[in-house]
Amino acid sequence: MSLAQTNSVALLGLDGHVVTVEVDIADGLPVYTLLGLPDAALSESRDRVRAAMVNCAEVWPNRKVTVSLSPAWLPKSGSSFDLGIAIALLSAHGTIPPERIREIVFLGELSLDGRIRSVRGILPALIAAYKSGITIAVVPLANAAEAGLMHNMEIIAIDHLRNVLRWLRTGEREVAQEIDYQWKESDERLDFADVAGQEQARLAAEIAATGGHHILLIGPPGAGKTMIAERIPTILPQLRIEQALEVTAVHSLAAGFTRRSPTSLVAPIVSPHHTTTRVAMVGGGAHAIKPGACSLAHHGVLFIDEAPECPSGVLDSLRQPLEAGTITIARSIGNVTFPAQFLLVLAANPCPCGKFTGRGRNCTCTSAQVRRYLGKLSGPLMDRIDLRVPVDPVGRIDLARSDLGESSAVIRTRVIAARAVAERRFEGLGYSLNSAIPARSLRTVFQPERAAMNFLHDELEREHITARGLHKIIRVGWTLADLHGHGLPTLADIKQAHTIRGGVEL
Amino acid sequence: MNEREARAILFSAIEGGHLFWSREIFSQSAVMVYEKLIAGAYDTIKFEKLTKELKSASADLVLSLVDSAGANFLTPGDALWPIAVEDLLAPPIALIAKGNLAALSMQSLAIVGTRNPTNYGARISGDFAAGFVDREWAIVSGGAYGIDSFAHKGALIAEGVTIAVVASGIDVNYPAGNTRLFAEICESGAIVTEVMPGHPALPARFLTRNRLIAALSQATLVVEAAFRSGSLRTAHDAAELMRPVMAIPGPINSPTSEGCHRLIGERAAELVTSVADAVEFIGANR
Repeated sequence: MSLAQTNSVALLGLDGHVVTVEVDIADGLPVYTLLGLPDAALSESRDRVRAAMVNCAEVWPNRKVTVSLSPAWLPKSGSSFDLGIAIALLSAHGTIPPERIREIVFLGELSLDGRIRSVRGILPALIAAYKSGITIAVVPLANAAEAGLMHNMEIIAIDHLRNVLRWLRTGEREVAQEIDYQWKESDERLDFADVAGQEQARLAAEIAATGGHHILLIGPPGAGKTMIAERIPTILPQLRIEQALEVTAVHSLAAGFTRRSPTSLVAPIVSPHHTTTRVAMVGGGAHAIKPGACSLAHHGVLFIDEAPECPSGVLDSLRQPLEAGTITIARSIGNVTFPAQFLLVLAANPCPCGKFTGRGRNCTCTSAQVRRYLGKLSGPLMDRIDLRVPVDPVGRIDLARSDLGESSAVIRTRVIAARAVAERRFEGLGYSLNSAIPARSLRTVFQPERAAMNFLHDELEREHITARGLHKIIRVGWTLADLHGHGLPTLADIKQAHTIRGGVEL
Repeated sequence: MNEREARAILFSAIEGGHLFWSREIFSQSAVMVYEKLIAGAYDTIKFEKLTKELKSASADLVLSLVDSAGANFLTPGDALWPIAVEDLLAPPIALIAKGNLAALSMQSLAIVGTRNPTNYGARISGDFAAGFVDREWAIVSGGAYGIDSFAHKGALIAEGVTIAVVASGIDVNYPAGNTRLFAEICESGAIVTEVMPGHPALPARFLTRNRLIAALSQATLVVEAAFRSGSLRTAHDAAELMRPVMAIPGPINSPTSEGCHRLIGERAAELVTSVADAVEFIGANR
C-alpha cells in the first residue's frame, strides 16, 4: 500500500476546517513534496517529521513522497499537522493499518526525538472536527485539559509518537493520567477587601460590573487605579459554560501568550501595555490570524493603564469592537471574526507628570499639557465611556483602618442580583446590560421617573450636560436602580448617577 | 496727519502694554510722539528699529487691514472708546474690536480661571455669568478654553452680553475650537484685542491681554486657578486698578482651586459664595 489518508484541522481565526492529509509514496528519486499552500512553519514539518520518525526507530521511505493537504486552496499554517503527516506517511509505508486512521483527527507538533508538543487552537479545532463527524482525536498530552472540554469526543492525549504508533498498532496505551475536567469557579488571589478606602471608585467599579459600563479611572500614580481595575473580574458573575468555552477557544488560539486555565469560569482580564500596537490590540497576523487583546478579554475586562500614553489609533481601533461586540479582521487569506465583548477599563494620570492632584504644587506640567493629556482620550472613544471616576490618593486614615472593605464575594452577590433584574427587564430585546439600552428606548420605554427627567432636562437646558451625557446618566441610573432595588430610576438614583459620572464634557 | 492716523501707525509698530510709549502718547499726543520719533528726538540708537518701522508704515494700510478683518479701530475720543482702560498704567494706544461696540462701555464683570476646570468650576463660572447677566451686567473674559468658555457660554445662555478680550489678531480665531463661540459672542457682545490683525497669540500677549480684561470690567472674579495661573495676574492687575477682586473657594485638595485659595489667603481677593454676595461686595467697594 503506498497511499494513506488521515485528518487534521486548519484554523482560520476561530473557524476550523478539517483537512485531509494524504500521503503517496511512489517509485522515483528520494524527494518530498508538500502540497496545499503551507506557510513557513508548516514547510519545515518535513525535517521535524523525518527526524522524529527516525528517532523512533521507524524507517523513512527513501522514495518519492508526496504529501497533500486538501482542500488545496485553503492556506494552512502552523506545526499542528506534523503528527497527522507522520501517521499518514507511516501508513502509506505500510506499517500502520490504513483503515483505522481515516476516522481519527491528529493534532500535534513533533519534536525531533518524537515527543508531541502542544499546539494552539485545540478547542476550536476539535469543535470543527466534531462538526464534520469525527469522534476520535489524538492530541498532545499538554493540551489534554483543554481537549477534555469536548465531552462528546473520544480524546486520546499522548505525549510521544512512539506511544501513538503502539496504540495504533496494538490498541494498547498507557493509562492516561486522570485529568480534572472540573470547571474552576474562582480565583482566590485577588479581593476587593484589599483596596483601602476609595469608596467612590469601589462604587463605580460595582456599577461598571453590574451594567457593563465602560469606565475611566483618573488619579495620581499610587492611588490604586490598577488595584481596582484588576479586581473587577472578581465581582463579575462567573461565566456560563458556553461563555467559558468561547473564552477558552479564543485563548487557545493565542496559546503561549496567556496563562489562563482552559477550565476557568472566572471572567478574563487582559491588560496590554500602553505601547501596544493596533494589531496586538484587535488581532491580526499574516499567516495565522490571531486574536488581539480585545478578543482575549471577551466576556471579561480589557484594562489599559496609562491610556493617554497609547499611540493614537490604538485606542480608536477599539471602536468597532465596542460597538459590535465582535472584531472582523480582513487579510489576504480571508476574513476572520473574533468575539470581543469586553468591559473597557481605562486608567489615566491627571497630567503627564502625574502630580496635578491635591494642591498641585509639585506638578511641572503647563496648563496646555494638562489639557491635552486627557484630551487625547476624547472623541468617539469617550462617547462609549459611561463613567469617569476620579481616584484620589489614599488618606492616612484609610490606610490605618484595620477593618477591611467589603469583599469581592459580597459585592458580586449584589452584582448578580442586579444583573438578573436587568436581564428579566430586557427579555426578548437582544441585550441584557444597561449600558446597551439604545438611546431611543431611554426616552420611551426606559424613561426614569418624571421628577428625575425634569431634573435632567433642567441640567440640559442650562447646558450642564449634553444630550449624550443625559443618555449616559440614565443608563447609569438604571444600573443604580437595579442595585438599589427600585423598579424605575428615582430622582435620587439619577442624581447619584450624575455625580458619579463626573468629568467635564468639553 | 491727524491723531487717529498717528495712533494707527504707532499701534502697528509698538507691542501692547509698553509702559514708556503708552505714557508718552497719553501725556502728549500720538501726533507729537510720532513726529518726535521721526525727527530723532528720542534715543536714535535705542529706537532705530522702531523709527524705521514707523517710516515704512502707513496709516491707511493699518486702517484698511482692520477694515478688511470686519473690525473697528478705536482710539480715545471715539464715542465708543471704553474710557475705563485709561485707568491702566500703560493704557492701550488703540483697540481693535468687532461686534456690538457699545458693549465695551457697559458695566461688566470679568470671570477668569483655568483652562482645565473641574465640573465644579465649569458650573460655577456659567452660573455666575448667568447671574450677573440677569442683573444687566456684561461678562468679560479671555475667550480661552475652560473657565473662559464656560463664562462666555453662561452669559450667552442667559441671553446676555459678553466680551472676549483675545491675545491674537481679531481675525485669528484662537483657540480654533472656539470659532463658533466667537461668532456667537459677536452677535450681541464684542471681541476686543490690542494686537494687529493676523498676528498670533504669543505668550507675552496673554499677560498684556490680562490687564485689559481687568481694566475693561468693574470687578474681577477668579473661579478656578492653579497655583501658577495667568488668572492670578488678571487678579493682581485688577487690584492695582483698585477694582474689586473676588475668588471662589474650592476643596483644599483640588489643584485647580489652589490659586483661588492663595488669593484669598493673601487677602488679595474677597471670598464669595453666591452671586448675591458678589453683587453686594462690588457695590460696597466701588
